[in-house]
Amino acid sequence: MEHETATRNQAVERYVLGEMPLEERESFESHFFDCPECADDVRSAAAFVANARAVLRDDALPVEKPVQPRERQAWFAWMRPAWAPAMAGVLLAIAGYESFVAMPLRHQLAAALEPRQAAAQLLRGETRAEPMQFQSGRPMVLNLEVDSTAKPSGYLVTITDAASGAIAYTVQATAPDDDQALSILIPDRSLRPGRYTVVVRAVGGSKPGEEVGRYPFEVK
Amino acid sequence: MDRYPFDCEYVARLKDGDPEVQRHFTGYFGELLVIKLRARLRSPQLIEDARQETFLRVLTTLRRNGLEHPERLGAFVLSVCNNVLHEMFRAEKRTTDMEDAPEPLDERDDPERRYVTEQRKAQVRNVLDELSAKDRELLKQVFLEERDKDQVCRDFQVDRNYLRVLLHRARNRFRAALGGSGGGA
Repeated sequence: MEHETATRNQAVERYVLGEMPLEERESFESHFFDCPECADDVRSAAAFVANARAVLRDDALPVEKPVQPRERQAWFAWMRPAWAPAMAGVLLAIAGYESFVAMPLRHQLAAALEPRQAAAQLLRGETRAEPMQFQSGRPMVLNLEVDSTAKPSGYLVTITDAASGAIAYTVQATAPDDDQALSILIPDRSLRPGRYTVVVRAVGGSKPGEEVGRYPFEVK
Repeated sequence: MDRYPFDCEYVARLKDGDPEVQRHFTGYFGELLVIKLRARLRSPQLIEDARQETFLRVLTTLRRNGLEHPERLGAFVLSVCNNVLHEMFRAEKRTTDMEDAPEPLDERDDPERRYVTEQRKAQVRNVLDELSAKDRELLKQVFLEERDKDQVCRDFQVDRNYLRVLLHRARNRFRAALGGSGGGA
């Protein structure tokens, strides 16, 4: 392979992405072992991929932050005789913010943290039957029957809008115990009414990336 | 990575055991060998064995016979590596069932980790932060989740060329950020 050919054919990227057939790969290796410029390109591409993997892996680790509800200060504690006239307008603004913005958000947060009834359904793989239905306005628990002989260490779960094909959510999950379903919690109001497809793929194991199942469901 | 011309002087110094040239030689070709070998061998131990055996044979041959075309030192290293690989595969065929699925790499032993440094990670993080959420997720699913690339491209409604161009640009920004050739740490 000549240098100009390697550059024109995006050889470095295709090599690092594993897209070359064996013969082409060997030809490109023969080239870059003798071409310092292409060797540098291959080296930097490999270093980028290795470090990107490390960064993305670090970012994927769950970080638990305790949620501390903000303590409400009594609003009248801000009142001081000397500052009363100047503080009146500020207090009105704060009260308005509390009433129309902060309080509704606080209620939503408290509601999300409190135990609530959730709609749980067992979803089996794609069948001709109508998809399972969930009522919107409640948290949903999707119990997915997964059966992979490849014994993956985990699963990548993608929830896709069936109409647009757009990915709504991606969830990384560890493999459940044998005979247990893979449970995915969807907080209420996270999905608009419509049809969705859950696609589950293996992570790790003997067949990484294998599609394990497709599960349609509908939010009404 | 400093560049040395592979010429008569370089080969002569290598034959004589010049420590500076030996360091450059093993550093320069060591990385390239690992990149090549990772596509052929899953076991970190086998990759390291093949790398060491390649160097041993190259240096032994140089000291015994020299090299007729010093400027083709790279091609010589590659051909020795290919011979080592063929011998390893022949030995594997005699002793194991080739249909068995290879053991997945243990992260801790992954030879790729030799390329990972805090400085490089910081630069890569900057590059990734500049990407759109879509492009970042695309790279994550390809490189971290190791999903089928065709399927990932279908899911993200892009073609394979988009993925290559994305990698090309990200790699160039990474190299520029490190300020040198080869992405040296």
